[in-house]
Amino acid sequence: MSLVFTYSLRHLLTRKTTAFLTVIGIALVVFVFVATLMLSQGLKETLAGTGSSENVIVVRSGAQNEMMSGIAREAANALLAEPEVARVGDQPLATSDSVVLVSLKKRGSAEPSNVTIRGVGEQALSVRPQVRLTAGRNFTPGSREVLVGKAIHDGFSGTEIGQKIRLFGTEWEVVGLFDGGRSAFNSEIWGDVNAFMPTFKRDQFSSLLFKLAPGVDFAKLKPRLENDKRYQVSVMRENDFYAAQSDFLATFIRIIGGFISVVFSLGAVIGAMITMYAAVASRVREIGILRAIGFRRRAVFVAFVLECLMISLVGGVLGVALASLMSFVAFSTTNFSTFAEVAFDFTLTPSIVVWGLGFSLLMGLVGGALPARAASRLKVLDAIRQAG
Amino acid sequence: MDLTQLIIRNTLRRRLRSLLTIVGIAVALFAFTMIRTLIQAWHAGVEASAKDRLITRNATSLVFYLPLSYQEKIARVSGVERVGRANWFGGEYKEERFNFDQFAIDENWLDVYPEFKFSPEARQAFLEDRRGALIGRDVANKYQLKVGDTVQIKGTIFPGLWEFTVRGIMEGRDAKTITRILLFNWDYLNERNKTELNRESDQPGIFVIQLKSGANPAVVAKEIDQLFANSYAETLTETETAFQQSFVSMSGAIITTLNVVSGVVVLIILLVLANTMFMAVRERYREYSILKAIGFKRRQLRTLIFGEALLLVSGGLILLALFLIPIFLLPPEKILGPLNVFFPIFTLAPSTILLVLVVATVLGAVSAAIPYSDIARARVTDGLRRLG
Amino acid sequence: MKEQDLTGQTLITVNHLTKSYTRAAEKLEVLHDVSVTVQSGEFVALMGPSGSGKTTLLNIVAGLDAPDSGEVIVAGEKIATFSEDQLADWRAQNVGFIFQFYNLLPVLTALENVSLPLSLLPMSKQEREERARFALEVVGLADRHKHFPAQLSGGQEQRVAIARAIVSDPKILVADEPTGDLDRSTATDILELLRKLNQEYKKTILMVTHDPAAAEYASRRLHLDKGRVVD
Repeated sequence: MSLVFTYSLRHLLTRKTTAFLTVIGIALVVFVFVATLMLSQGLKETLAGTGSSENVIVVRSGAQNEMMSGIAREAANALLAEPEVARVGDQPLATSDSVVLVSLKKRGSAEPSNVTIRGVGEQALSVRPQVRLTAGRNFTPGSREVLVGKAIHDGFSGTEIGQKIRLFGTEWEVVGLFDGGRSAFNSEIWGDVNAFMPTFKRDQFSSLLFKLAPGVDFAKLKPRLENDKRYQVSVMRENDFYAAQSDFLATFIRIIGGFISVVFSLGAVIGAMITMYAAVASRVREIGILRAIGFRRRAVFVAFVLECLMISLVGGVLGVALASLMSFVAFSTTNFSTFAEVAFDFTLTPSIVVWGLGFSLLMGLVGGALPARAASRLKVLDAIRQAG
Repeated sequence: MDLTQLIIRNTLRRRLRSLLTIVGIAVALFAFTMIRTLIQAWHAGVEASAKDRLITRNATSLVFYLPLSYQEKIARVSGVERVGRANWFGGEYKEERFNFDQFAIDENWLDVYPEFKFSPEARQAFLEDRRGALIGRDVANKYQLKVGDTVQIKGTIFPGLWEFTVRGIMEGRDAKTITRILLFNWDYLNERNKTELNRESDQPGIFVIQLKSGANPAVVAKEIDQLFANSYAETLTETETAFQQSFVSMSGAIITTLNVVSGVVVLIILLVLANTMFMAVRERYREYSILKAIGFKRRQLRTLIFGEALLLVSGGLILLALFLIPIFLLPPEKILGPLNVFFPIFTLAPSTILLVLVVATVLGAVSAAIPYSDIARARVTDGLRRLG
Repeated sequence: MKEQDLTGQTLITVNHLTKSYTRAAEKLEVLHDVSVTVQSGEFVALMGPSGSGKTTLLNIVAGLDAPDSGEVIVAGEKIATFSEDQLADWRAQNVGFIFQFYNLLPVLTALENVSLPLSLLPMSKQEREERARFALEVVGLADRHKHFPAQLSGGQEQRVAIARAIVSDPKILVADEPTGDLDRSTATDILELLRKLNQEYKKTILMVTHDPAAAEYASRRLHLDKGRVVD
């Protein structure tokens, strides 16, 4: 059947302009589709990739995010003394954090964004192993020194080591940079919780984070802590907690992306149909000859569908290639759930590439099917009588 | 036979192709319209805002509140007519957050926002009932609430169960007013903060300021901020428009993306149209050459070709209108589905309609331009040599 | 290509064929009760004025069209009631076509055009290529196998068409005004080629023509008028 292939391919090459325009149309649609998937994936990997399943985060009962949560010191100390909390020596492997948002101006923008400021305990970097110090040093306990996350450093001016950030009427010096991998922590500024809390004028922690002691069954721990009247808390695995915070934004992106992709694909399919109908119309006589020689209707159908699939596949590859360039673009926006700025990127996975190509082939199939069917249903005699 | 007739006949010659092109244009324009309307809807808060109202908030971020004592000081600034206070409540109603805005307000607030219309009796009842609430028409309709009904909200920032009695339903002054709102008495919030919740009390989230007529907003804002500069709680005062705009900018990346996508849609329309026009002119090359040989001038040829493109565009616009009219007669909840929480107002603006018309016309012209210039320049004899 | 040594045996039998078309709500009877037999190895010219039904008869015998009533038996097979797919398969194995013009697919080379019918028959790629080359040799165009139809003259195109018609060694060759579009001397070349195929290779040929000079090359002339055989 290589002759069918040759036949379809050669015809494509004789109608270059039309084929080109159709290819570009499909490429654009695939680009938008794949870019949307990449954005969703990036969001998922960042927020869902924040935190570990071996850590437990504790917030005030019913609080949706750390900002609105409050846990009193005594309750925090008592909870962290529970046996299920892993220990380092006699200290709990935990951090009691105080989290607020601060309005800072982004690089190259007139508008400020809400940056997450997190006061952390001494064990912060140990409990959160995905966060690594990449430059400078850790802050001195009790001092007005801060560490800046990678996304904040990249996106906001005035965050180099040695520079000072003005918060609450006082100046805080940047002494180190950290990289949280693909996590929301990259969009944060960290400092000593004991230095921040008096400045925030808060006397309650926002959240507690501890590592589970070996062999602990979280399923039993959760109800035990939540039902304990002393604490009034909600308890979740750290990664689940952050994943839940991406729900709104993820849904939003998915719905809009879905709408756009569906409507766009209709447009591309129509473009393909127009091209293919034209192709059929110009080859009626040829079709007649093929059928006279003895090619069945199905062979004609396949030849035209194949031609459309070739166009759409080229468009698909082009679209995926263009979309992959988006990996170099950083995306930063406000998470609706937390009101905080969160940076994530367009992430391309092999599965998304497959989806993109599959989508383009689907468009080619749908766009080519009706014209191909029309071609195959031409009456042999009528077709032969057509003058070219 | 005049040119108009010829244009129409030509378009009808390839009925299927013309129909597909029209549908393709309509589909793509539909996507364009919806995206632009979405971007517009994002600015609903900005549209509803007033330039002669100022909002004062904590300069650090919205997560921090302001001392109650600021209110009188602000009231004494020249140019200030009156000052109200408010706290964003953000609770869960019927297990959903963000269904409608919830604010704890004082009496002055009601006067700063005259666009909410309700009877003096309702006002009286509301102010006299500590646990009274005023709800907007949108909320009343959506949940079928009437005066006297109880509304139960689960606090998130201010934990616990909060029950209010509806004392009045507010109508919006015009279509731009967002009536997706619930107001309750600030004193009640403050009281519970002090007694039950052990939270900081006497701390409004924002102050809303009505300016005296003729007062310069920028000057007054600056004066207010000067009052509290270098204090612990520095303020940021801006016009309500700027305040609302800052919320929109928080999703700047998304809005930019939508703008880019709407540009891509325009490209897709162009491709579909250009493809069709290219094919249309090419298959009639000989005919057009004959017309030229007979004595048709370029101008008339141009009318024919551009006319056909514009006819197709018109068809697309008519089909688009048939789609849009029933959609925009529906209330926003039906159109947007789950996205409705983000966009209380979703209407087709005249500016969007105008934009669509302009874009469609320009695209029609551009798509006809290249095939036209091709045949306009060609020599008659070359054209006649071409077969069909 | 085997010599069809069934010379003398009846290859085609047509009995009481009727065919009519509806055009603009009028029923036109194109063939009235036509009965004809053709022996293997004959070169038959179907002649008659326009509208006589000669092309319709050719189409029915070639399996391109079905009669309203009557029998069509070709090489022992009753094809009058075959389905579309059955006819397609049957044509692939039994018939070679030569049309008046636009015979060839413009995007394929001469060799590819000739091997087109072979892709419908089970054989190896190598065998296909050998047979196609041989067919081109028979028509004298072996050196043009890489050319596209646009690079061939009218006469050369027709010869390639003939090569394609014989490449699958079909039982009958069917030609509808094969020289109608050619000048006199080229037409003669084509007709000589057809005669050679008939006399040397014993191919049975049915040719529709209105040109008496072309009809001279045939071994038998069949006249039709208003849908009936006249003689």
